[in-house]
Amino acid sequence: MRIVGNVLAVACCAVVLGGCSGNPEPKVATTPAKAVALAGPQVDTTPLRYKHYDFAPAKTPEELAAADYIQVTAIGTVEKFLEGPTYITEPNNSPYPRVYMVVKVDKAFKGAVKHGSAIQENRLYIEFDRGPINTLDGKTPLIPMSDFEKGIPAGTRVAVFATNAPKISKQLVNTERTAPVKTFSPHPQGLMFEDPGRAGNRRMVPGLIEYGQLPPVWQNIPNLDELAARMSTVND
Amino acid sequence: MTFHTSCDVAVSDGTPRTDVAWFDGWRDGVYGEAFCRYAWPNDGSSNQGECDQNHVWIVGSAITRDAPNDEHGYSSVSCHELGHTLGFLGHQSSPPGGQADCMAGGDISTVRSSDVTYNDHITADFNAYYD
Repeated sequence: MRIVGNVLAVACCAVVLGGCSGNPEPKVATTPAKAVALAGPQVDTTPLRYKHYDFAPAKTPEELAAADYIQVTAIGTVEKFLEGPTYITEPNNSPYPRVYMVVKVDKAFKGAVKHGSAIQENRLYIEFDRGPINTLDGKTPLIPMSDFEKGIPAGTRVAVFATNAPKISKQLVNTERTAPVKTFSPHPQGLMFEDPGRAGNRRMVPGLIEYGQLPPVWQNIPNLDELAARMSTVND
Repeated sequence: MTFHTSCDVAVSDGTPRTDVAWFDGWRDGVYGEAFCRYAWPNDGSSNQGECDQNHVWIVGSAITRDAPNDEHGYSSVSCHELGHTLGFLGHQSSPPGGQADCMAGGDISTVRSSDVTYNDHITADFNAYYD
């Protein structure tokens, strides 16, 4: 079941009687609508969690950041999701559509120099697979782009431990959707969102794996700022 | 990557006869991954939401790098990923019934006989569901 945080718009209105004539003309004074964020989860990673991974968990953020396969570590905010191109591969010309999560980078740590050209205008393109395909037509993704956008709202804070994006095949269609810069994919442990609507340490939400798959040290990290402090110890 | 099969892998006719397609692929930082590639849409049919064909990627380069025995490494990762395609989750700490099996995953640096088998709990669940 999808749980999306609600925003309640509250308009405060007051009726003011103005003027001194015998025909007072009521005027309505309104204050700007005030958005009140209700407590509750806002991040739903369901669209990103359709894969199962077998990997050797890194006990600490420092250990993961130092792994040779981690190319970039960074923190920032999710700006938007974009449809990417589609790999065509075996068997039977199976489509592997891509989706990009564009991250506005606040701070890059490891790889900031080596992969600086991939962080143009402080934007990092994080690549995912789009998810299951409709078996009846063999080509249509079953997860609409709107599910990514609703599940991970723009502005969500995120930490990324990124590897090179996997090579699926040499055949690519919809190439006009290809990202303008080199893309990366998160390690299964290396995508952490901060959800202020959740309580305690549970506000750190892993994007690709279940919370219980995180080693104890990771589960005790209370917020993204503390995670960032630990990530910052491994630089270029 | 060349795909070798004599199986019927077609999906768009609605009657695929291959439930799991296996790849020796490349992916940094993992030994394998399993996912549903083709699923039934929410069309009101009795199959809606069910997976029709899973794809499993086995990262041979990482397995042969970290496993002391290649065959055991491939077997344990394959056992783990096949378990996922059957609907089983990985064990994070203690396995159900306290009996270790390949659904623990993660560590392929040690050779254990339990790395290539399913425990009684999983076997019983499988038989009950698929009988």
